[in-house]
Amino acid sequence: MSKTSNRTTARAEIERMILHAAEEVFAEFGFKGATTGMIAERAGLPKANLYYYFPTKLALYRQVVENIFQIWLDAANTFDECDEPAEALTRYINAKMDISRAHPMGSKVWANEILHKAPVIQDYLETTLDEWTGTRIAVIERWIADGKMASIDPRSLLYMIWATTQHYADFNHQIDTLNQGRPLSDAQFNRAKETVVSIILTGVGLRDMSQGRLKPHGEENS
Amino acid sequence: MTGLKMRPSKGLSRIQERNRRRIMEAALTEFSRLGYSGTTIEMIAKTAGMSKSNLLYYFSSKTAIYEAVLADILDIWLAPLRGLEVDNDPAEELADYIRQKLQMSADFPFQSRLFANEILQGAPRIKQILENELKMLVEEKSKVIRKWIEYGKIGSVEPVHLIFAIWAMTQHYSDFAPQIEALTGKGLSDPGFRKDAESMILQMVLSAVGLNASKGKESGS
Repeated sequence: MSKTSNRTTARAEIERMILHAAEEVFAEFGFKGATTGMIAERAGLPKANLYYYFPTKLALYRQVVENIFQIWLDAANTFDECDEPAEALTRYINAKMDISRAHPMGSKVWANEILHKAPVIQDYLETTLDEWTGTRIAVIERWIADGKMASIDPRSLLYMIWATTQHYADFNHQIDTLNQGRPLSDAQFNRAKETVVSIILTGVGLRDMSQGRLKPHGEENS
Repeated sequence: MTGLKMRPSKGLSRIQERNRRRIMEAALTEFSRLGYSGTTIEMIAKTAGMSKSNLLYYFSSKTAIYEAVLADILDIWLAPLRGLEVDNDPAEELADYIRQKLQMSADFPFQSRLFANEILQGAPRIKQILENELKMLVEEKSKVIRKWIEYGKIGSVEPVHLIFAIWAMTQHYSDFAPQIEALTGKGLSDPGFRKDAESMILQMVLSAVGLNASKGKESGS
């Protein structure tokens, strides 16, 4: 390996360490409560070093927010990749759930920011998130127009998916507490995923309860 | 305005009760604005319109006020869940629960956000309440749901995840209100928007357990 690529790797590794530490600190203390000193300490780096990579707390914060946001956006590419709503939504929900488990801190930073009325990323919500949501809504509307799914409000459907999946990250302390103080095991987490998928898909009429273990009580889905 | 309910505290006169409530409401305002660490006793006293020493007569510390406020929130939060009874009609019970939870998201957004904030931070100050009260209640109500499944009244579902889904869906409208407003330009204060949100959640949850959402008030079978 050349000297340059070694240096590039080291650089990327330090950046990763800083972002990881920043995610934890921002998740716990929010933008206002966090300091670069706390982040540097958690990353095990001198503060001056941190400034070399991220000149300000704000730059670091925005990077953390953009990272989780990008991960979430990529998860919804399933909408374009497959044209069966049941499959696309199932894959999207599963991906969102896996993200909640793999990146709970990123999700919490986002939640923390929104809880405080999005002081730093308001512009982001109004532009990037809004535009992207529009493209996802358009796909769902096309599915409805093509008769592939019942007529529902696409926007509310997205909110419901975000709410239920991110709950497993944002409220994981509560969930762990209710689970004898332990994080959900792989098997338990799979049950959670199945349940969330089942609730959303049945809720929008893409899955019939008769596919479950019990017969449906009402009529067929209307 | 904030509608904080008070747990009746023994041995307090009416004026003392009122002062306690005033402090807790002021604390709620300050904590929601600045978080736990950003808030000082002085700020709470000022907002409550009383001296710091007077405030300290009612609560010995900032932590004590914070815990009292959160315990109250959880009390309000959990009241509708307590009502879930096995002998009643599941469709009606679940629909009622969802409606009440959404009502709370509309009426108590500050409380909802303060609670969410505490959980986000790992619930350092209310762990005990979660471990005792909340855990017992969720276990008890999971049993109710399991019985409904056993009796064939509702479709099979993992009870605890069903409860999480209801919490997540209803609390999303208060906790993520700024995001919803940025995207939709509306919130729960808009009656039409609220109606739509409610029917969406009702439809999701009820049909997920094989109940007919459009007949929310009728028997499920």
